[in-house]
Amino acid sequence: MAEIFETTVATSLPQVDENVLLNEKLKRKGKRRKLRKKITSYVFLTLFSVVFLFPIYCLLIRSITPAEDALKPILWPERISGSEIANAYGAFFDPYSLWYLRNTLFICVMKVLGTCLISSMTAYALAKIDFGGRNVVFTIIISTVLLPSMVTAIPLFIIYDSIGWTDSLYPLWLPIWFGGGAMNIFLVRQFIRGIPNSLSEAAVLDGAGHFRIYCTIILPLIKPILIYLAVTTFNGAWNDFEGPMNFVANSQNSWTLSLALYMRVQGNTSEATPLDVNQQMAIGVIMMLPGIITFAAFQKQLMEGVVMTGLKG
Amino acid sequence: MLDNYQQTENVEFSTPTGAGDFVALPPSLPDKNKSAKRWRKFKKHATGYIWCAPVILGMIIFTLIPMVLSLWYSMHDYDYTAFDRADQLTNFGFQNYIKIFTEDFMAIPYGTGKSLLLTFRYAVFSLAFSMIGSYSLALFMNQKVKGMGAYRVIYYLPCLIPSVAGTLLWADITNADYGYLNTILRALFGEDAGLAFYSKPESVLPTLILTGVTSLGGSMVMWLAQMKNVPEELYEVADLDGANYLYKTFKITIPMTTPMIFYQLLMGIIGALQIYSGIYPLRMKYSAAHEELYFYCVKIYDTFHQSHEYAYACALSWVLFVIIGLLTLVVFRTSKWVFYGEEQ
Amino acid sequence: MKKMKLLLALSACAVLAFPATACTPPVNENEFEEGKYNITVACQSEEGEEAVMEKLASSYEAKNPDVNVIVKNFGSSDLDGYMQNYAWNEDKLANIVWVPDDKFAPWAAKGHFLDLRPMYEASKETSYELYYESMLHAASYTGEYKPYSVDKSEKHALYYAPRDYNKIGICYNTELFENFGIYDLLPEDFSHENWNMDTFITFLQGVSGKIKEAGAAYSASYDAINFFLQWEPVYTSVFKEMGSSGILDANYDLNLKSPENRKILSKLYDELFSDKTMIGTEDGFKQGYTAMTVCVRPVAYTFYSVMKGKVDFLPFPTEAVGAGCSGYAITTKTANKTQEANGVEKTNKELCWDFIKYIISEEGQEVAGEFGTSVPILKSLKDNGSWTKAMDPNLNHSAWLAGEELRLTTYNVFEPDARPSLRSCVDAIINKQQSVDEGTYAKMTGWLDTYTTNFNRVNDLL
Repeated sequence: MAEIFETTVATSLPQVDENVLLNEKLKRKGKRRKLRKKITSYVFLTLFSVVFLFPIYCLLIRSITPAEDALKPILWPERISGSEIANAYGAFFDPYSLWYLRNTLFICVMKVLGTCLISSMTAYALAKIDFGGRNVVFTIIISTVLLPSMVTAIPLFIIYDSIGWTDSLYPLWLPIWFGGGAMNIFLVRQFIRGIPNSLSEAAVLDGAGHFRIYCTIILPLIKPILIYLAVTTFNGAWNDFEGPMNFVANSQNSWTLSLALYMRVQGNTSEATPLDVNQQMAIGVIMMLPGIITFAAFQKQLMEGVVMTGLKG
Repeated sequence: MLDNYQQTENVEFSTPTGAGDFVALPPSLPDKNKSAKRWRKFKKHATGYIWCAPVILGMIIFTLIPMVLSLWYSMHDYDYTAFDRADQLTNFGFQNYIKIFTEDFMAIPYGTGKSLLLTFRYAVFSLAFSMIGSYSLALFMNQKVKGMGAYRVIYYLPCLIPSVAGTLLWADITNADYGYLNTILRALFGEDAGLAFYSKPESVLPTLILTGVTSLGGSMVMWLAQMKNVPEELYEVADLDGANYLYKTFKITIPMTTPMIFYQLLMGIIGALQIYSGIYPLRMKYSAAHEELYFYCVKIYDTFHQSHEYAYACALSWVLFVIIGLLTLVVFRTSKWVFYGEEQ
Repeated sequence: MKKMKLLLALSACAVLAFPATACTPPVNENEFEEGKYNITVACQSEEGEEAVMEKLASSYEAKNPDVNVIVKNFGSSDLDGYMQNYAWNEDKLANIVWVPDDKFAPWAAKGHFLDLRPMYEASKETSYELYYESMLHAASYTGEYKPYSVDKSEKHALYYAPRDYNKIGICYNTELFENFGIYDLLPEDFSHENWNMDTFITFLQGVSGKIKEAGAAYSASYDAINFFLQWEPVYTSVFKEMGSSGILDANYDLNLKSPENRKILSKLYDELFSDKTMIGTEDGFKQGYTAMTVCVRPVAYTFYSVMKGKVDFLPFPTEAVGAGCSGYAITTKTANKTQEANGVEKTNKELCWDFIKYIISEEGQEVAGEFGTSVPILKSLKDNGSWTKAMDPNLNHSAWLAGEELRLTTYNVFEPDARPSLRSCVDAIINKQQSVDEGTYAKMTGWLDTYTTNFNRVNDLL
């Protein structure tokens, strides 16, 4: 028996040594593999960033290229002159552009206010007030998402025409004050549902009405989603091209920046000179700024809002 | 008194915290008067509707009435130069719808049939490209690498280019003679390597889909947010079982994100079938693109604004509505693969 | 919360930016003036139309102080868009509408515009012989006018007063001509022996050769001419010159596929369109990349301003050149309303006709000609007058001189409602024929037949 013991003990020791060596080898191999993986990740990431930054690079470069060289097959402007750049970016500041900027700002602000107010109020009602047909109303609101915009855009244009709204800004922001956007209502409703009722119960005992509860308790709590709504609505309204093209294209007084850019490129304006290529690109660069600023500042809220949109059944 | 707060058991959608819907009834006062009870009930319902009034009113004014008007127009012939307003609509009947499917169907060059075909082709390819592309990109970005936040911002940046400027930019970049892409290709592969992006009819659709590569960033952000929601324990369990990356992706990540896939698919179909305004600058610049990019909504817009055939345009848009409705129904019916998670 | 404060700060910025941008809107709404007769004129804003109308309005008001002419523009739409918006809104509809000859027919046929023949024939100052006859024919939607005393039917009515004679010509970029040395290729004079379709094709091939000589970078982006074959005056002139009887046959079916037309199309393709450096666009001309473009005088005026004077003109190479016109129509719905000023009541019809009479008189034509956008309708001002010195007296204004008249009748045989589809069909055919691949004779046989048959089947007319 002792011989067996001895032999087993004797044979086990070298194995332990081997294991330790093997472990260390594996660790080094693992580290190298991890490093290799990291390097490949970084390589691919940078490769993709080149692809994604390419349009922005083109935008900037073409806004700097002097107008005569715009159609030459080159990647880099042959000469950069300050006066050309000033000319390109100055195209944004001609008097009519400021009027279009005013229009666009007005519409954006009105849309943001309307969306936040109306969709949060409706979402509160749908989430917290139990009234008959609540679910029916909600389903109808959600189903309007499936409606192609063309079906309503054509008769709406005819209606606006006969009322005389096509030379004002009403068609662009008034429907929001009466609609709020179906997906927005859904989002806020999800959010409000997550607010426990214990908070409002105290207010109920104090004799507060629904409106008081909404203002004092709910509104402060849904700030993150409201910020998300505000930012996305602002960006949507700023870059919106379909809405103005459908409804107010006929009256130059109510153009927005996107529509004005398109019309000036087409040459449909009362000014004789159409835009040069570098002027078009420069206006594009300037129009990108609010989007970049809001995205950079409100990244966290945007991500949270995006998570919310995914929780649909 | 607020007796509008009530318990309810209809939980349609999952909530993040699982909090209950409504507050329990406050201690009820002894009700002696039956009419007071009825008034309270009425007030409860009325309050709800008053809060929803703007939206309901808006739906009636800005959705229902235009839809009815559109249907009414589509059943008539519209004479756009009639002297009196009353003479504009004549001939009640389905002739517009019949015209869509018979006469105009095979019309050359801008017929309904070709338009529908182009739109469907575009929708299928662009949706496949966009969903698979952005999903793979999100999978790739879903790792813990330092500086990932900055890369995410970079990938999202092209989505912020305004649509008109973006289209003009891409029209210039993909120009077969002087565009940047061809210049790079020629520099790398020689003089003949230039591709005819929008100059030849065959390559117009692939070019259009390819230029959507830079807007993958927008959907990628959505997928990333969803993937971050997948519980870590699932991955750890799989790791313990010795799963490799592909297994983890196909068995964990994809099933857990199916709600988002379903939503994106639905929204994608509806959106892709309605594309029109973003490609107008392209159609103006390139004659090959003028015919090849004649999507259905482009046809509706042109019929409406160029030919002033309001009734026919309304009929076209109703056909589109029916098509989208049917497709949505199909998607919903075959949505058994959507996995809702333990909350449901 | 910090983010909330940031959001509020940003929105405050947006709101505060308002006063800074509250400047004048692009379109100023002119006001009615009390105590005067008010006439509203609507015209398009491009091609200097609105500007020349303002000039005419102010010089008319100087002569008639009791009239106030309000000029409105179509906005970003054309005549159809404007009429769609206002034709049934009698309060806002303008009294006088500027109409081009290719868009007025559907509206005229339904009675929106007044028959002007009685007013023309009421005075010797506006008798028909003073004007070019082809333009008077163009002002009737059937393509043939007859005096009111001869035929009272509306089919031969004059629905607008033509105010110019715009034949097509060629506008070229002087800078490009100098740089590429194209001046050497021009003939000494432009008589018909030296300057016809054959020599013109040779000339264009020479231009394309000169561009290619300059280098690969230039031939990639520069083009010779924007030939604009799909425009009715252009193809009518070209086809007639090259021996065809037009694009319609005796049964008024589209006949672009007849052997002679097909020969012409393939000749044009082989010698012109197959060359990549040949065909440019109007936008390309404005941006300085296309050497020449076919256009009419009003558009040439725009080119002159856009390209800062570096343009000049050449006559169109055919013997008989198609010409169009535009003019002013009186809307029926506002015509019979009356206005009062200084105790005298007048109908809108009288007031409008007085203004139009001024526009087509020598005085008005000189005012418009000085501006440079049009060639006068009066035969008496054919080669003299302010229009020959407009923009720059040294330009080749003789390119626009009225020559052998060619009546454009392709559209007029169709019902007004069918003309848009004819236009788009011909447009599509010629566009396709100009594309480098499809225009080859082999391919042309197939689609030309299909397009033509389809059009003729759908538009079973007359």
